[in-house]
Amino acid sequence: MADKKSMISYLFKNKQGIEMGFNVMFAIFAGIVILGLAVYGATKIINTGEKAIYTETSAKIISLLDPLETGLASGKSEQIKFKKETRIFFECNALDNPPFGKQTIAFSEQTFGDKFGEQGGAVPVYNKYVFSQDIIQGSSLNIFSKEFSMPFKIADLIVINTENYCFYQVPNEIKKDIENLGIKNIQFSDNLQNCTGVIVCFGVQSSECNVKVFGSCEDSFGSICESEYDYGRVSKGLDDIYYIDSLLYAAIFSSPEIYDCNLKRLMNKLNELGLVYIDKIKIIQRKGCGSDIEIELRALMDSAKALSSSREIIGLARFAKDIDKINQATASACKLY
Amino acid sequence: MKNKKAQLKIQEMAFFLVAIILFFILVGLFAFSIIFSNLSKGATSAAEERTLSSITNLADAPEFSCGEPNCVDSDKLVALMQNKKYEKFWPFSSLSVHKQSTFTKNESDWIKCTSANYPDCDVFEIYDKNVKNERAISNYVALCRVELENDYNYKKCEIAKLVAGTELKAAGE
Repeated sequence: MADKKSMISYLFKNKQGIEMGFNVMFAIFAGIVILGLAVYGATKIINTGEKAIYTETSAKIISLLDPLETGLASGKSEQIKFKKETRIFFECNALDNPPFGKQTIAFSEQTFGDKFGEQGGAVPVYNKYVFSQDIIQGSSLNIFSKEFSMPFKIADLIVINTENYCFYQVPNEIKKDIENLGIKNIQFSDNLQNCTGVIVCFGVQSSECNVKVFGSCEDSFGSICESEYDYGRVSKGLDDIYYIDSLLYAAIFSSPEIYDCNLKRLMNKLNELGLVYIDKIKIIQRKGCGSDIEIELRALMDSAKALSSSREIIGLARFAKDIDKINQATASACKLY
Repeated sequence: MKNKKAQLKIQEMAFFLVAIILFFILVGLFAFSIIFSNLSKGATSAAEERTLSSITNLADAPEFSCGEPNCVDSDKLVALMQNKKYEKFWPFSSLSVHKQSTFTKNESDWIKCTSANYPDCDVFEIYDKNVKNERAISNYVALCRVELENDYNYKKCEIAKLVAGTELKAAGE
C-alpha cells in the first residue's frame, strides 16, 4: 500500500517526461507538415516538367509537318514513330484568329501501365490544315499531304492517322494516287472478308463498311469530270460530308467537326488569296495583261465567304472550273496563277 | 526558472521551423528558376526550328509562288504588303523579301517597296511585329514579275532573299 502511494507521488512530481513528450509530438507534427509540403512541391514540379515536355513535343510535331508542304508536288507522306503509346488531341476553331482560324495540337503519352500522363499544353497552328480524328492514339503517326486547289492552290491538306485502313472496291485513279504517296497503313481489297481495320467502301452500301464514299461527278458535271469520284459524298454513320478534289482524303480520315471547321478555314483562305490575286490583276493590267477573270473570281470569293456547310462546296467547283478555263486561255506570262 | 527554459526551447523550435520553411522556399524558387529558364530556352529553340523548317518551303506557298519551284511572284508581294492579316498566319516575328540590289547597298539606302514605287525599290516588307530581340533566317529565291517590252509580255526574274525573323524570348517574358 505504501509502495502504491510512493509510485503515484513519483508520477505526479516527475514532470520531465511530459515536457519531452510535447517536444517529440511537436517535432513529429512539424516534420509531417514540412515533408508533406516537400512531397507536394516535388510532385507539382514533376507534373510541370512532364507538361512542358509534352508541350514541346506538340511544337516539334508541328515543325515536322513543314516538310510535308507539297510545293509543286501533288502530295507527300511520312511516318513518325514514338517509343511509347501516345495520344494526340486536335481542336479546330474557324472563328478564332480571323480570318484564318486556328487549330491546336496537344500531346500525351503512356506513363505507368495503361495510364496516360496529363495532356500537355495545346500548341496553336495557324498556317496548317490538319485533318484527323479529334483524338488519335498509337505509337506511330501516318501522315500524308495533298495539295488543294480551287482553281489556284489554296493550301496543303495534311492528314494524320494511326489506324489501319482497308479500301474496298477503290477506283484505279485513287488507288494509284495512294500508291504513289507510299502510304503504308492502307490496304486495298475487292473482298470484304479480307479487310481488317477501318473499312472504307467506294460506291457500296454495306453495313460492314465503316466509311462509305459515293462519287457524284458524272451526275452534276457530265463531261467536265475526269472521274466519278472528283466530287461526291462521304458517309460516316449519321454524318454525310461533301467533298471535291483532294478533300476526299480529308473527309475519309477526319472527324466531321474538324472537316467542317477546316473547310471553313480553307474558304476564308481562298477569299484572302482572291484579294491578293485581284491586286495582282490590277498590277499586271498596267503591263498590258488584260483578262475577264476578276468578275468570276469575285463570284467565287463571295460564294466561299457564304459557305455554311460542306454540301455547298460542289457548287463552288463550277466557278473554279470557269476561272481555270479563262486562266488557261491567257498568254503564258499573263497567267494569274 | 523552469518556465523560462521551456519558453526558450519553444522559441528555439519556432526559429528552427521558420529557418527550415525559408530553406525549402529558397530551394523551390531555385528549382523553379532553373525549370523556367529551360522552358524559355526550349520555346525559343522550338520557334527557331519552326522558322527554319517553314522558310525553306515558304517560297512555294500560294501567297508567294510564281508557279516555279523556289520562286516568288513580286506582283503578289505588293498585294501582301498591304495585308496586315497575315501577321498572325505565319510563325515569324517579321517577314520581308530583299531584292538583289540590297546585297551591295547600305541598309540606310534601301528603298522600301510600295505600290507607288514598285518595281523600282529594294525591300518588300510583308510585316514586322517590331519585337525587342529577333534572329533572322534567310533563304535565297528567284523573284519574278510580269514585264512588257515591245508589246511582248514576259517574266523578268532576279535573285532575292526571303528573310524571316524569330522572336528570342527571355525568361519571364
